[in-house]
Parts: sequence; structure tokens; C-alpha cells
Amino acid sequence: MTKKIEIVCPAGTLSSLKAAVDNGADTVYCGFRDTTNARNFPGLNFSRKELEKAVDYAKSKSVKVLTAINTYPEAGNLAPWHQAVDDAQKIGVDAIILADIGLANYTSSKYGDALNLHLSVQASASTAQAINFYQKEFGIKRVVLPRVLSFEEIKALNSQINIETEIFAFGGLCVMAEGRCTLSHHTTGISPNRHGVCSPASHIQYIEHENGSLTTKLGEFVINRFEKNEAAGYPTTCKGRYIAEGREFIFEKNASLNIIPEIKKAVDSGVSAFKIEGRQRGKAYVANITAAFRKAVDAIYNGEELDIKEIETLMEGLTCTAGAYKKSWQ
Amino acid sequence: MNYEYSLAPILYKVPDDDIVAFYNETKKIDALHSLSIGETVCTKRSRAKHKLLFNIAENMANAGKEVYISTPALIMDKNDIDYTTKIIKESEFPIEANDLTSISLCLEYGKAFSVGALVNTYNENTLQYFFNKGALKVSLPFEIPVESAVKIATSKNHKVEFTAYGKVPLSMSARCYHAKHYGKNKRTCAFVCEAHKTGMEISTIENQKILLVNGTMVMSPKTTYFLDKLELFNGSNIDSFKIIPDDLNSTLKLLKTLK
Repeated sequence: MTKKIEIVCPAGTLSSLKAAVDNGADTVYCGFRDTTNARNFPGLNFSRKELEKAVDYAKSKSVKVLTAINTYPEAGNLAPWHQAVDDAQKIGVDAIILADIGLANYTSSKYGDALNLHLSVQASASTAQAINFYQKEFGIKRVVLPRVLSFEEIKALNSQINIETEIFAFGGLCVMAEGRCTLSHHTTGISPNRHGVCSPASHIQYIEHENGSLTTKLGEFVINRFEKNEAAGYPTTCKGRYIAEGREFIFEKNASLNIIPEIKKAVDSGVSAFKIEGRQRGKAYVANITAAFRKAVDAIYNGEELDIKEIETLMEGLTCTAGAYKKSWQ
Repeated sequence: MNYEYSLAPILYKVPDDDIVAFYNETKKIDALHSLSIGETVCTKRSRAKHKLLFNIAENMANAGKEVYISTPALIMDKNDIDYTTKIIKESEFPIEANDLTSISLCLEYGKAFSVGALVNTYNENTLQYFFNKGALKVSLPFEIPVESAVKIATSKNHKVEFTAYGKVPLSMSARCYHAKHYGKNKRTCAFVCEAHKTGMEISTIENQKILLVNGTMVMSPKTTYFLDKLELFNGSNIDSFKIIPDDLNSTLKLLKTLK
């Protein structure tokens, strides 16, 4: 085995960042409190001052900080994105994560090697040709792979490129190719790529019925109906219960990912980093999942037997799948 | 105003004979300036059909149309890459590149290219970058509103295209949900998508038409219609408008009304 796999953890707030750092994260990623990042939810993310504190805290524990500036800058209004890049550089983050070609061009022309660039999953670069293009043009150092590849394909891909790859290891999953999905825009008029938010809470309605059932709506569309004792999921367009050809139509029953059961294959695929999704999650969640991954990765590198059950108890009974990385799943 | 119209590829799985018949009629339509043709949704539908593709392209070019060969929207596995590389290498026509893999291949093989609407050209800097790289034309993403479109197209010297008609693609996936609905997967699909020549309608449990599933692509069931509102673009740098075919007969009827 070569370099030890880096665990990259989410932080929507300063206290989540500390939870990640204190529980064994190698790296933490976060975004500014505006439309420049793809988790632009109310009450989340960092002001410039908070990011300075975050970087100070992380650096004092030898943990890296990445800043996601991964939405697509708005036509005629590029300044907020350019400012975000300039400020992140000034504050001293270890890398920025971006998706837009115009922004990558701005950043690499201005800072060159003085600022590390990671290609966001929102750029959906799924082939060696696309990844090599971003590396050649903008000096991208790492690519976050879209979840459209199997472990075998990731392994083959890693032999054709010479930058680092990072894969999603845990958390909520996009059903569709990331960064190329306008389903939320179709149902709500709000676009993940442009506004940094998918299925915003402001467009969601929960309608309770007399018999105790619950209808969820997104914009004008009915997304799902849950019986009295059924757990109601957050309504996004790709996770609805629909009808096609007179039968129930569901894209995916379970869109939460956990690669722990397949972690050895993931390590063998040659990736450099495991990313945990969930900047919108609380600090307890971040702490638990970070600790679980720390334990799992350390066990593999120390040659210890991996107790998957024990690790999964740290994850508090979340139902997940590793299926998306198996070719048969497609 | 003089507008230029271009025709997007047929996005659905339609029998070859219908495709040939459609383009034989299309080439007679004078108002149509350019077309892009090719399989953009699923390479499994198009393997071993290069000859048909290039024959249609040549036929259309002989009729005086500007022709682009359109590439797959989502390129994932070796089959997709091999198919895309082959058509880009063999094409005598410019390529309509629908993702960065195709743009990268066009630059590598020195092929002329345009940037398709499924590439994320959301702002003037990204647009400028593509023109600096030699793009002949850029089609703007389908979700771009008119007021942003006119801000992106900052120069008269660039050909920038806006989609004025059709049911637009909304997303793509690694898994084929068309096949999955029939208990199959991408490998075993037996082309179940062929049964829906304008996509499989998806309704909510309260019978609202919400989506269309077309192989690995999800589309809008609602038709975008700007053909009677093109004056919105007067004074802007956008004068090229794209039409996405759906039902081939209705599309022909519509094309015949263009002036």
C-alpha cells in the first residue's frame, strides 16, 4: 500500500469542523455563507472570520482545510465567486474545490501553483480524457469522482491519470450525475448549479391527513405519500414515489452510501481520499462518522481484522448501500 | 430580424427507417440552417451505426445544411469512450461536444467542434474560454433564463445558441431507470426504451405529469416554447435558435412553419 488514505470530512459550522478534527479527520471541507457553494442552506457555512478561525484550529492539529466554491458563477455577476477565491487564498486554505471552467481559468491564471485546485464532483469528470484536460488546462491536483464508476473502473482510471482521486465514501447520494442535474430547477425554479441548493425547504410542503398519512410536495408536485407509521423522507425530485405505465416508479429506494463493507476494494482501487458527505448535518453525526472511518482506515493500514459490525454501530443504524460502486448495479 | 434555426439530435430510440425518412424531409426545409445528429443518450443504441450516421450527415451537407456530429451526454465506461473516440476520429464534420471528454478528444485530434447545451456554460468567462479554444458555436444550458443568456453572449463575433423549442433533458444517470422499471439493467435491457418513441411518462400519485424517462436520461414532459417570443433577443448577440425534435411527424410540421 502506498500513501495512507485521507479522510475528508464535512463541516457546515465551526463546531462541526472541530468535531471532525477532534475525531480523526485528515482534512475538513467547508464553504462560504452564500451562493458560491453547493450546500447553500440557511444557518450553514462560514463567514470570512469563521473560516480564519477554522483554519487556525485545523492547522494547530495538522488537519487540512478545503473550501468548496463549486457552484457555477452567475452571468453578469462573477464578482462574488472571484472574491470567494481571493479570500480563501488569503485566509490560507489548503485547496479550493471548484467546478466551473471560467472560475478554474480565473484561479489558475491568477494564482498558478500558489493555490491548489481540486475538481468538484459537480464538474462530473468521469473519464481520463476529461480529467487530463482539467489537469493540463488548470493544473488541477485532485478530482472528486462522480458516482457513476465501479471500483474496477476507478482502478483502471487511476492508471491513466496522474493526479489524485477522491471518492464519496459515506452519506446522501445524488441519483443523477452530479452537476448536470436540473431536476430541482424543473420542480422549484431553484437550481443547484446556480443557487447552490437542491429542493429548498422554502418550496416544500408537508400535508398531514386525517388518517395520519402525510403527503410531501415540492413546488407544485406531489413527491410522496407516507402511511401513519412510515418514516417520511425529505422530498427531492429524484426520490419521489411516482407512476409509470400504471405501476409504481421509484428511481432508487435507498440513496445513502456506505463503502465500509467494501472498504478493502475501495483502498485497492488506488484512490487517495474518502469523502464523507453532509455539510448540512449536525456535529454529533460528523463526529460519529469521522470516528468510524478513522477506525476502519487505521485497522486496514495496521493489518488488523476489520470489525464491520462494530464500525457500523458507530453509524447509528443508518441504512446504506455500497451497491453504487458495483458494476452490476447499473 | 433574420433568425437562424438549428435542429438538435433525435433523443429517443427510434427505428432507423423512421430516422432516415425524417431527415430526407428535413433537408428540404430552407429555414433550417444547421443540424446536429447522432446518439447522445445511450451508446448501446448506436454501436455499429457509424455508417448510417455519416450517410445522413453527408446527405444533409449535400442539401446545403451545416452539419455537426453530436456526442454522448454522459461518457462512463470503455464502450462509451471507444464509441466517442471512433466517431470523433472518423468524422469529416465538426463535432457537437456534449461533455468535456469529447471537447478534450476534439482538441487532441484537431477536430472542429461546437459546445453542446449539456456542457455547463453558465457565464461569460466559461463561454470566452471555449471560444479561445476554437469552439465554432456554444449552445447554452437549458436552464439558463433569457436575461442570463443575453449577458453570457457578450460578443457579436461569437455564435451562441438558445433552445427555442422542445422537451429538454433534465438529468442523466449511470443506471438506466427505463430498463430498471422493466426489471432489467443496462446490460440486459433488450431496448425496452424502444416502446416509448417520445419517452416514458412519469406521473405523481396525484396524476401530475412530472417527468419523462428516456433511457439513462430524464427529461421534461413540458415543451419549452420561445418561437413566438424571439423578439426578446432583439438587440442581443443571440440569433441562433435550437429546436429539439420529439414526435417526428409533429416536429416536421413545426419545422415547415419556420420562416
